[in-house]
Amino acid sequence: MKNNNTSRRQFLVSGIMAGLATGCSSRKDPFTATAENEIQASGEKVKLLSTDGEVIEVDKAFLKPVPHIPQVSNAEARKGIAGKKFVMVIDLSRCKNLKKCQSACNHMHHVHGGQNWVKIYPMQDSENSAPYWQPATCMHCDEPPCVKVCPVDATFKRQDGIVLIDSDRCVGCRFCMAACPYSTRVFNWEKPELPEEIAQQEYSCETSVPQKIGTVGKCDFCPDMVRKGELPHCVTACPNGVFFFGDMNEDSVTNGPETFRFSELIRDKAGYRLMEDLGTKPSVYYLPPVNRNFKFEEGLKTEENKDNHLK
Amino acid sequence: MKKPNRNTIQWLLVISLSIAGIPMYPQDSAGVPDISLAYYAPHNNIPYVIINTRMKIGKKFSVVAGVPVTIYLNEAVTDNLMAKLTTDESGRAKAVIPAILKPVWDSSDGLKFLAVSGADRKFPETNAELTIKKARLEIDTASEEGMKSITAKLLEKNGNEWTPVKDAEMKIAVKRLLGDLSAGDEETYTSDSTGMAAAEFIRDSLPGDKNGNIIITAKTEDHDTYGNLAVEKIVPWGVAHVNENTFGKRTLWGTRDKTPLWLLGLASFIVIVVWSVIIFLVVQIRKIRAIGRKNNVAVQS
Amino acid sequence: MKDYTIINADKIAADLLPQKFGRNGKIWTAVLILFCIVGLFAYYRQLRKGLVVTAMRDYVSWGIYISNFVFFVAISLVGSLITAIFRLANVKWSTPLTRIAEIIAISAIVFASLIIIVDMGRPDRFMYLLLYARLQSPIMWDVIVIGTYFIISLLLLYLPLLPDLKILISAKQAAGKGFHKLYLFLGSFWKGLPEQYRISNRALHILSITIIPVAFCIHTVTSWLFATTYRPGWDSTNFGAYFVSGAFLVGAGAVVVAMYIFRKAYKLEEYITELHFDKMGKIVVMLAMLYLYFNINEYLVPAFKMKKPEEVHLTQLLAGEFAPVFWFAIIIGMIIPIIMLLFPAGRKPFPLFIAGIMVVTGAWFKRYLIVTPTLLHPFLPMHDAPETYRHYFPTWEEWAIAMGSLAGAMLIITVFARIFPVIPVQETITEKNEKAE
Repeated sequence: MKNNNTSRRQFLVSGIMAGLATGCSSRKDPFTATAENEIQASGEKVKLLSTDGEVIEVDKAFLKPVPHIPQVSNAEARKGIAGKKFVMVIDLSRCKNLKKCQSACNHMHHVHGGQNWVKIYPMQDSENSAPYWQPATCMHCDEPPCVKVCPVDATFKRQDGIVLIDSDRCVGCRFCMAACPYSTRVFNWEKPELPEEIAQQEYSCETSVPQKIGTVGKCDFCPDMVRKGELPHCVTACPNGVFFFGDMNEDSVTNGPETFRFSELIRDKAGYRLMEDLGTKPSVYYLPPVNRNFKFEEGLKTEENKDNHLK
Repeated sequence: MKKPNRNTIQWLLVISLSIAGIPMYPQDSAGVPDISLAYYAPHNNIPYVIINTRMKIGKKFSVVAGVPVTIYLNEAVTDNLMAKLTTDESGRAKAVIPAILKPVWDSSDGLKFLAVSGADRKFPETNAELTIKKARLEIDTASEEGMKSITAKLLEKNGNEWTPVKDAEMKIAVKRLLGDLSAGDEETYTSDSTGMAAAEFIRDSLPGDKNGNIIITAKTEDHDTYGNLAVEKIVPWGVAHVNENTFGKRTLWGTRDKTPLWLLGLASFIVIVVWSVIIFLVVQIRKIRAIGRKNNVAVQS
Repeated sequence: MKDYTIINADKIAADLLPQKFGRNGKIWTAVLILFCIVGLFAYYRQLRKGLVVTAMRDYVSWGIYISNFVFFVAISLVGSLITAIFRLANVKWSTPLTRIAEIIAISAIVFASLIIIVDMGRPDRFMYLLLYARLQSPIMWDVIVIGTYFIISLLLLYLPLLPDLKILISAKQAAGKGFHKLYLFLGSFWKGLPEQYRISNRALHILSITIIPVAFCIHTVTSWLFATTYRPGWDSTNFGAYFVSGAFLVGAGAVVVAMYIFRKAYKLEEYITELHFDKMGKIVVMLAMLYLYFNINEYLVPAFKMKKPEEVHLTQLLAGEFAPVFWFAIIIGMIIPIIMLLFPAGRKPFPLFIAGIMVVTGAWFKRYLIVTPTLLHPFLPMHDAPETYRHYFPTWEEWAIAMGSLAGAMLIITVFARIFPVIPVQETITEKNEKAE
């Protein structure tokens, strides 16, 4: 997993770099084009060997293992990435409530102890139906009820479909929390406990860090990671490949090792969205818990551990 | 009787192993240092090596940042020095081959990368090496009578010749933002005696860019002999994609400058009507006041 | 204009002009101030530590602050009922009650706004509501409509006060120096000229017409803060009418209570007569029946269908955790007052006063039931959250602030009664004269 990850990123990055180095930027991918514009060439050149043993000159920026993509301004973050429409597919047949997604998310976003942006619900639709584990992130609805009710534009819908929060704008009225039918939003009831260097950072809408007292927080689909060509933290943290993430405009979703055509996956596995009748049009799709990899009961262990931990 | 015996042996093993482990890493008994090297040569263009410094604790690897690593080509001598690097916060560093090493590069068809990390409090001295054979990937596409196919060809260097590589596993895929979508039915393809692997393109009507172009890629991933090679080709096999969304339209979930017109009109109408009345009333009160003041003056005079 | 300086005018003025507080008045004021101070201290703690001092958490993200807000907005509607509707309907007997109703409305609307600021996670960003106002949000509609209603209510209080200010200015002995200056500032220009009366009467008429739709808006929009969401118990097309009817009931109840207290405290038996109580009793019983009707509509229809998300909510209300409060609000807040007030004996001052207290108390808990139980019954189960997040019982800080705000509203009324006549003096004189003729 880890290796695969790195190599994919390396590939993407090196692709960008090669384009930069040779000056024949023939890529048409709108996203890569964005990234390319954002990489700042240092202007200094170094002489290197090519695969053919030729000596060629490239920009010094090529020497960095990861290109430096500066954090976008909050004004830019409000617009989102042009030409994209991010979707998530959650395969319920693979989930056994390991909660790795949750801990990775909490760690990366410094979520307040006890609160969670990703929740794994034990679900049972009716008395006689089988229970299953249902991870739930923010649904990033296309007609988000939370955004409708925000009085100050603190939460907003971007062109790439992601719903984010500007914690520097939020007045803490919590109307969005009442409006969200998925109970996805959490509130910073007290001053977030953050490491000094994190607390001092400027708030970024894309990383949702640092959280601020008296404001609302929630899952952000990790657009900062996506800008780097990496998957959201919950996706990479899941050892069972439950989460798939991708761009609907490319009709592809991936969990890292596996990549599927989104439309085929949803068609073949009868994907659905939560509470379709509410008309919120979520960006998160679920694959029903059929042909499961794990028994429901296996997930109960994690629950017990968690309960003990909380006590 | 047998079972407890085996258990005892296992326990003894564990104990002796952990005892053996302790003196080796007195500074950090938590894990085993690990340097991994990976060779990349995208587009048959600029080769480089990615170095990862990690600590193996139990079964898990954890990243160690800021480890100084020295990389040599073929031989660990000063003349063959590629780079002296320090891994970044994600435990990664990238080494390219400087132009001075051209003689070393040219001297053989294979490449050997040697990484040495100096002894450090958090990362004891560790060596790693990676042997790679110079190779190149080629990609070609064909489209005949509605059948679209992609062929990838892997060649390795033997003296002055590039010879085909048989039985090499490679991916033939459509490049997507966060992962590669296999172009055909298979996840991976294996080269035949001519070094070629062919995939039939089955991703009909896959969205491309606004002109319908998609990027086809062929790559080897972590290949034992050839590392990570990759080539790309742009083909007009996709469907022109026009992005549609409600962003920038006047909707209830739009921003404050995108209020739906009916709402804006209705609200403004109500506010204007009501506040006109209020202003009218305030004017009336001022009128009452003016009358009173005038009267006051009249009385006094 | 008639000659209105007939013999008993002086007596009326003497009876109705504000007086210095007696011992009881002072104790009452001191108690209210004490409540306010405790509330302020609790708010200081909340400002320092954040909303963590409340019992609100991610599920119950709105608690008694919001139910208190709804309660205040509801009570404030009474100003429009007693003053505007009765004035337009040419109801004469309500004259002595108009000012009481109007000051209740204003103090309630002031504290409705304050309690909303208390509920905000970032009160320091209050100005953002104006700077970044987003018209799509029902909160913004509420901000606009509450601001408008406040201004209109002030005008409706001020205009009929002008003739009384003239009397207050002339009767110097009634007030201290500071008050006298205030009277001069507010009403020195009122000379009682026919032209002034003409303009004033016309303005009052326009105001009475304007305030009614605005009053309906203020509470309808407040109900929409809930009804525009999907949650069981809030997702109702009926909410506006339901809230407005409830608001009229609690407002009328509050006026009844205030009437009784002012009548006792200021010895106004001659002005607020048993007739007034009888009439107000009839209005309360009518409004209580109306509100009961809306309640039945609001609970019976979903209970008949028992849609899955509604099921837990309704069973918890009707027979579960919230049943005691629910039935308290229904029985004490509506049914018993209805039974009492259907009989003429129940509409005597004291029984009506008791019924008024029952109505107001029931209404306060009713608002709590509208806000909190719904939040405890989300669509997805409460999960992956600490145990404390799954219940709600207000902390002492919340109680202190809520009680402090109620005390604050009563303090405004009390102070107002100390400075201004609670019964319109001039209008009473005029009406008595008209009757005498």
